Amino acid sequence: MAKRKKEKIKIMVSSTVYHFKSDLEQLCSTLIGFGYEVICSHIGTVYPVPGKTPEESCLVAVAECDFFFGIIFPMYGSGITHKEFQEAVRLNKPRGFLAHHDVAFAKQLLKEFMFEENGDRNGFKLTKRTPVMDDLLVIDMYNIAIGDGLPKEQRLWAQEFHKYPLDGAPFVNSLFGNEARFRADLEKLKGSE
Amino acid sequence: MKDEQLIKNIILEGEHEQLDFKESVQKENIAKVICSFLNGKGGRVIIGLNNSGTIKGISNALKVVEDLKVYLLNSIIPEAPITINVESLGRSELIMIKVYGGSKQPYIFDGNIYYRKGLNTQKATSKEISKLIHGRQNSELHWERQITIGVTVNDLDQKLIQSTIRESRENHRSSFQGDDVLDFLANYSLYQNGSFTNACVVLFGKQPARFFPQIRVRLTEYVDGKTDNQLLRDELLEGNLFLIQSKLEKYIGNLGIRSVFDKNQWKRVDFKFPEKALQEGIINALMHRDYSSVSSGVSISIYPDSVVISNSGHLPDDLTVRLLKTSHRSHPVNPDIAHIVFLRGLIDKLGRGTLKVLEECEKEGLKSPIWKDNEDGVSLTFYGPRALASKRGNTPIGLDDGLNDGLNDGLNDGLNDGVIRGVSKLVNDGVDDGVIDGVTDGVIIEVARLTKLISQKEGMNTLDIATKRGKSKPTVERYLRTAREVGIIEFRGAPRTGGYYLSNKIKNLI
Repeated sequence: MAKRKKEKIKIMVSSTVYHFKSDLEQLCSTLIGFGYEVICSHIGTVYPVPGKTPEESCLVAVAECDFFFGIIFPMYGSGITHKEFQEAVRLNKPRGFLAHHDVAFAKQLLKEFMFEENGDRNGFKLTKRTPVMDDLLVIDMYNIAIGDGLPKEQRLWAQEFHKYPLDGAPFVNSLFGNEARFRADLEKLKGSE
Repeated sequence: MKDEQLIKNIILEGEHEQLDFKESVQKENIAKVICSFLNGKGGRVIIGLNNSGTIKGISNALKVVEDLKVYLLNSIIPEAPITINVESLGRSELIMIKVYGGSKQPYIFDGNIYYRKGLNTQKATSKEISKLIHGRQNSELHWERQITIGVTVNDLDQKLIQSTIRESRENHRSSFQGDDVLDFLANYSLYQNGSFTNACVVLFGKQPARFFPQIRVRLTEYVDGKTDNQLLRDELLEGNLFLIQSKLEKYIGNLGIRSVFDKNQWKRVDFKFPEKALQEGIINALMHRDYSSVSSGVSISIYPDSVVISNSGHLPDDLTVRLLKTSHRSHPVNPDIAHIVFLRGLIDKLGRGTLKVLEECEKEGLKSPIWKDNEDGVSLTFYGPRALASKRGNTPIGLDDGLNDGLNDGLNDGLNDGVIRGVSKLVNDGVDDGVIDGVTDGVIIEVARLTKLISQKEGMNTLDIATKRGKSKPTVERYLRTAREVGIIEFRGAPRTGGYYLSNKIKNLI
């Protein structure tokens, strides 16, 4: 019997699209070129489950992917990306994140305002959209990504970037460029669960 | 006629890494090749030729061009300037598509990244994709992509941006949908997370000189020569690139008929500087100048019998190879600025500026203009009627037209394409093999000039070459050493009586 071809690793790319359209398409094509299957609503590869809303279909896609890759921008979008982040964490999917520098910066800047002394999030929010950030929910997304507040060993790294082509894409290259290594590490991760 | 000759010369090169022939219009295959060129050093696709270059022609070419324009614009991501033209050759019509090496790699067609290897276009491997990603990092460090601190949307001429959106849509050069100014700027990387890039300010700023004093252009009209004590006009033009361009065009439009006295023939000679050629020279100077140096500038000097457009800044070759790597060599100096100028329809055919200028001057019976590049900058001089032309110690244009095109259009065209490519390959091989250190594009262009010169008369010695090039002996020696080290030329004969010859290696390449 012929040797069965290895199934491609399914990577879900979860990101807002605003002013990131062609970079996002380049990112997806980069992953396809590296040999992965890419699940991303922007390029139309999320299966629209009959009878379910786009949001529900996206959450199903999170459950089906092998690796969840989230990108956090200072513009919040519709909120689906936020829900996808929550779902990936709830399911404890193997995951990785890119976070725009402005979000990481704002987190530090506004920490005192956004959180009570016991660490609980208060109702502090932006009352107006600004050209550099439209909603503090992006900081909440960032905190979900890095496991803010969790014990150190459960926290994750979110690679900061300033300009995607300059310092985001090289991270994508480092993380996914060697498919065989990534596959082996993903297997190890599954084995350790 | 020059256009026809150019096409013939290109066809004679045969298919290679930057040239592909297609017999018929297979949109998908063409898009794949264009995508691969954008991921490489740029190139041309000629439709209407079989693989061996035999002319088959394309019927209904004008309509095909319109369809192709829209198709390529919408299917290749990110958007890039692509020129598509119908070219006549005898009774046949061909379609020529041309692109520069892209400045926003990796480019995608149909979800995949294509790469050119020799004559083949194929999906890029992981290694090739990594190379493109790292190459792109360098492009992002370029001056025009840096953020101008303190600029808000109110500092930009929004009406100008809106008219650019409209025009680019009407002439099928942009795939951008919508009318939002910020979305449009973001689409062309001129606006990023609340900030505007330097290129954006040069293109659309209301008062860009507040941020970049070097943007000013000096316009001087002399009664006689530079040493004369009278000036007819001396002013500094300010504003964004398009405003300066339109002010200059208006001025040129009013130059009118000029008269000079021909002492030889003892009579007055009337002539007119060709408007289109001057416009071409101006837009090239504004588009390809080096904006990154605060002391750079463009000046237009008008004499009774000549016009000099000069860029006192750095040459395009100041882009170091180390900075832009080999795959970026054929970028225009300012790709983002050039793209918007292209959207506004101010560049007809990429890389054909020189030919256009030459043709226009010829039509008016004027002496061929001369491009010069030296340490002071780049200059383009238009002269009066041929009969009056005094002998000047410059290189005749015929020798350099392809090379000058390189300076003016960023991509070399025509007769010297082969020379540039051959020289570029051997120099880059030399750099890769560690034979020589990294060099600037200017060095490659100068070595190509020497190669061309030697190919016309083998056996010349250093002094001959220095005299012909109008450069000092030590300078020429430096370039010759590089050419020798990478195996482009060889010295034959005794040290005192011998001379330089082209190596077989370069002969095979050109």
